[in-house]
Amino acid sequence: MKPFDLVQGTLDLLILKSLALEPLHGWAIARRIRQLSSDVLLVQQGSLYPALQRLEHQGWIRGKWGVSEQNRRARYYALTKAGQKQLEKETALWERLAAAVTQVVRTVS
Amino acid sequence: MRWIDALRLRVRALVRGGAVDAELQDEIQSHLQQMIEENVAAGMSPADARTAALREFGGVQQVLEESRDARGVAWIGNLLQDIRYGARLMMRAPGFAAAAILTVALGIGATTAMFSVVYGVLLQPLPFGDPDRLVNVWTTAFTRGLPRAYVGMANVYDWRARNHVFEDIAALRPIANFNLTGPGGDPERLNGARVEAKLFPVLRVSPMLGRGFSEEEDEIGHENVAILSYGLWKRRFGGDPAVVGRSILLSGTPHTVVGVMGPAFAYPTRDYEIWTPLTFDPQELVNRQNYSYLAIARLKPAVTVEQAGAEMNMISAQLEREHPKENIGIGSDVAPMHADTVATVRTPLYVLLGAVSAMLLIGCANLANLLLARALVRQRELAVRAALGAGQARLVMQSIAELVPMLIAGGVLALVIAAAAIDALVPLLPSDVPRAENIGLQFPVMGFATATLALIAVLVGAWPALNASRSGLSACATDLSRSVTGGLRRTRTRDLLVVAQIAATLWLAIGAMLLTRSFAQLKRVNPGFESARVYSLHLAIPRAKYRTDRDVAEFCRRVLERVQAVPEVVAAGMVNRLPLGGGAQTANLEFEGVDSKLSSSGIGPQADLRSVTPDYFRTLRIPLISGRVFTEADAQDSPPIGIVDERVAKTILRGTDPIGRRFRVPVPDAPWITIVGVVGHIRHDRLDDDGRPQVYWPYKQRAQDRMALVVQTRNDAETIGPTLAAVIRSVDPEQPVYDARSLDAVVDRSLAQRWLQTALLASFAAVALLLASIGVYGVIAYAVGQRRREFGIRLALGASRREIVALVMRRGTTLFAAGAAIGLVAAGVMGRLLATLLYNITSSDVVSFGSATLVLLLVTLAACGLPARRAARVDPSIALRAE
Repeated sequence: MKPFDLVQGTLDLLILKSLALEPLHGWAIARRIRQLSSDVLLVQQGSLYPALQRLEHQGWIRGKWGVSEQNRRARYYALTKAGQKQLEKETALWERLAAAVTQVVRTVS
Repeated sequence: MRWIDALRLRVRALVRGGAVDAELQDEIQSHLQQMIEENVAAGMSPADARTAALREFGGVQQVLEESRDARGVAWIGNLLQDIRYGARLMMRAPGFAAAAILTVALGIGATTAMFSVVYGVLLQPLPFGDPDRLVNVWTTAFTRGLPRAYVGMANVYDWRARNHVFEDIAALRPIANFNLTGPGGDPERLNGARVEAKLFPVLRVSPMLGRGFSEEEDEIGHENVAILSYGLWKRRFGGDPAVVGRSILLSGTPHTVVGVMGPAFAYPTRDYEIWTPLTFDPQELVNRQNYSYLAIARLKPAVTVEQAGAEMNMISAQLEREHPKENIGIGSDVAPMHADTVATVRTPLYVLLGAVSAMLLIGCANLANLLLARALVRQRELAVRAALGAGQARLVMQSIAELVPMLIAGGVLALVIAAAAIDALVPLLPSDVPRAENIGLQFPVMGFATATLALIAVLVGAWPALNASRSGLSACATDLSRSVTGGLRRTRTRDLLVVAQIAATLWLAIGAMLLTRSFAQLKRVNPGFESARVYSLHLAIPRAKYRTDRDVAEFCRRVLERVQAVPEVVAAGMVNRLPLGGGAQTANLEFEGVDSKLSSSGIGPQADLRSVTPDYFRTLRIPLISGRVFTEADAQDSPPIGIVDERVAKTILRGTDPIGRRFRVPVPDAPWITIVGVVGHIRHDRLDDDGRPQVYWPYKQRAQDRMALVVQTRNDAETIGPTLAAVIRSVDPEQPVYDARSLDAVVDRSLAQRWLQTALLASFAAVALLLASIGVYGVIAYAVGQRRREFGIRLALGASRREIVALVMRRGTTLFAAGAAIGLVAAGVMGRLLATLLYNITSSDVVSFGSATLVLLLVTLAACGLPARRAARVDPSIALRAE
C-alpha cells in the first residue's frame, strides 16, 4: 500500500506526539512518525519545516542546537509545557473525531 | 508568559529574518545529509543517494518560503521589499522623483508655514483666562472724525458705576517710557504701560513670581512699584527670583519690583516689558479731558457683545446729556478683544491663506498628474503580475508601498521647508503684527497637508493596480494594441487636472501682480521729505532729572551742538514724532479768523502737532515754501510762533497769506501763536495715507520729553549710530537711546507688512508657475509619446513638420484657454477681496490681469515647445515600425 499523505491539521498532532517522549531533530521526527505508523504515514519534508516553524511560534515546541547521534550539528525540538497541554487537547479531539468517523463508516446502511 | 516568547520570536523573525533563514537552511542541510547517509547505508552510490534525497525532500527554496510565511511576518517583509523597490524606482527616474518630491515638499511645507502664521496670529486663543469674554471699550467721536479713540478716566469711572454688563472694567495708559539705569547693563529705555490694579484680575492672569498690584498702589504716592516681563527679567536680571522686593531705578525714581509675569504674557503687545500702577490727575475726573487710556472689560456670563454695546450706548447718551459741553459727540464702542487685536492683519493673512490653499491644490493636481503618467507606463507590468497570480490586495498594497519613499522624502523636506520658512518669516513680520510671539510650527496642519497629499497619492497610485487585477491578462493583451477609449478617458482626467492647475496658477499670478504693482506705486510716492543718508534715533528724556521744559530743551540743545560738531554730519535736528515711525500727536486747533463752526465738529480742524529744532527741516529736506524756519532765538521768553504746512495754508486758511496769521490750542488761556513760515506737507502716518494738516512749534517753546534725533550724513547713514550714542552719553551717561536706524529703514518698516504679503504671494505664484509648467509639460510630452505613430503616418503622408508642431501646440493652447478662462473669472472675484490691500490701482487692473495671463501663456508654450519639437522630429519609418 502506498503511504498516505497526511490529512490537513493532523501533522501538528503527530509532531507533538513524536516529541512527547524526547527532543528530536527534523529528520528524526519524520522517521519517528513513519516508524510509529508502520510506514503508513509519510511526512512530506516540504510541510514538516513550515509546521515546525509554526509550532515554535505558537510556543508549543522550542528548538535548540545540539549534536546528533552521528556527531552532526542538528536542531532539536522539545515539547514545551504549553505544547504538552496542546498535545492532550489535540489527542482528545482526534480520538473523538476518529471514533466518530469510524462509527459513521461502520454503520450498516 | 508564552506570548512574550512568541513576541520575541516574531521580532527576531522580522528584524533578523536573514539569520532565521540561514539557521533553517542549516537545519535542512543536516536533514538532507542524514537522508543521504540513510540511502548510502541502504546500498546506493553516494551520487545516487544525494539525488534521491534531494528528490524526496522537494524544493528547498519553497520550504524556506513557506516557513517564512508560517512565521507570520510575511506581509511586513513584503511591505519593506515594496518600499525598497519604490526607492529603486525613484533612483531610476530621478527627474520624476525630483518633481514628485518637490511637489509634496512645497505643497506641505508652504501650507504648514503659512497656516502656522495664521494660526498663531488669528486663531490661537489669547493667553488670558476665558479670553472670549474680554472686550475692548473705545471712545467714538464721529463728529470729530474719530470712529475709534482712547478713553477718558471720567468716562471710565461713570461706565464702571452704571453698567450691568461687565464684571469689571480696567484702564491703562499704554504709553509709558522708562529709562532703566543701574547695575546689570547699559541704561536702556523700556516700553511700559501704567495699569490699574484691576487689569490683571480682568485678564485673569497672575504674575509667575511675586504679586500683582493692590488697589492702594493706584493712589498717588504709592505707585512706585513695578512688575517685570519674563523677557526683561531674564535679560536684565539673569532670571534671579530674588529680584522681587528689590528696588530698581526707573527714569531716576526708585521702584520696588513686586512681580514677574510668565513668558506667555504679552499685553498690550509683545513690545511691553514693564508695568507700573496707573495714577492720574484727579482733575481729569472734573474737566473730563485727556482721552489717553485703553479700557478693557470682562463680560458678565451670558452677556453678549451686542448687549454690552447697547447698554454702553445708553450710558454714553446719559453722559452726553449730563455733560453737554465735555461729552458732546462722545459715544462708546465695545469690541471683542481678539478681533481687535488682529483686525489690521486679518485680510492680508486670509488672502495669503487662500494663496497657500491654491498652492496645495496645484500641488495635488501636479502629484496626481505625475503619478498618472507613471501608472500608464507601468500598466503593462501590473497586468503581467496580475496574470501571474498576484492578488489584488497584494498589487494595491505594492502600488501604495512604492509611493512611501517618495512621500517620506517629500515629507521630511517639507518639515525642513516649513521650519525654515517660519524662522525666516517671523523676524520679517512687521513689529505691529500682533501676537507674532505665538507663531510656531503647527503639526496638526502639517498632518493635514501631508494626509491630503498622501491620500491623493494613494488614490492615484492604487487605481491602476485595481484596474490591472480586474482586467487581468486581457489588459496585458489589449495594451499591446493600445486601447483607444481607455487611453482617451485617462487623458481627459489629466487634461482636467492641467486645466485646474492653470486656472489656480493664473489666479495666484494675478493676485501677486496686483500686489506687486500696488507696492511699486507705493514706493513711488513722494513722502515730502528725503530719507536718503539720514539716521534716526529716539530719546526718552526723564522728567525726574530734567524737571522743567527749559531743562529738557537745554538737554536737546547740548546734544545737537555736539552732534553737529561731528565731521560726518551735514545737518541734525530733532522732532517729537518721527515721520512714518508710528505714533502721532494730534489736537483740534483754533485758527484766528476761521469760523470753527464751519468745520463739522464745531471745535476746529484736527492737526498733527510737532515740536522741532531749527535744523529739522533742512535735515529732512522738507521745503520751506514761504516765510522763515525757526532759529535758536525763538526761545521760551520770545513771542510764541509756529510754522504750518501747505495743507493748513490751502485747506484751513484757504489761500490767504498765512504769514502773520495766528492759531492756538482751544483751551482757556492758551496763547495765540503767530505763523512765521509755511513748509511742505509730509506723509506722517503711512505712505499711502495723506493724513492730517501739520503744525510745528519751536522746541524751546513747547518742550517734549520724547524726541527723535535725525542726522543727515555726508556719505552713509548706517555707520553713524555708535558715534551718535557716544555723543549722547557724553552729554548724559545715563541717557539711553532706542529705535535707532536709518530713515530709509524707517520708511521700509512702515511698508514691511505690505512688502511681506507682496513677497509671499509673488513667491507662491512663482512656485505655482513652476509646478504648472511641469504639469503642462508632463501632459503634452505624454500625449506626444502616445501619438508618435500617428505623427509618423502624418509625416509619411506629406504633413510638414510645422504642421505637426502646430498640432501639438494647439493642444497646449486649448488647455491653456480653458484654464485661463476659469482663472480670470476667479481672479475677478478675488480682486474684490484684495481691493482693501491695493494702493492706487483698481482690483480689475488690466495691466496685472494682462501681464499675468501673458506670462502664463509663455510658460505654457515653452512647456509645449519641447515635446512639439520632439514630435516634429519623429522619423516616419521608425515610428511606423515601432509597434
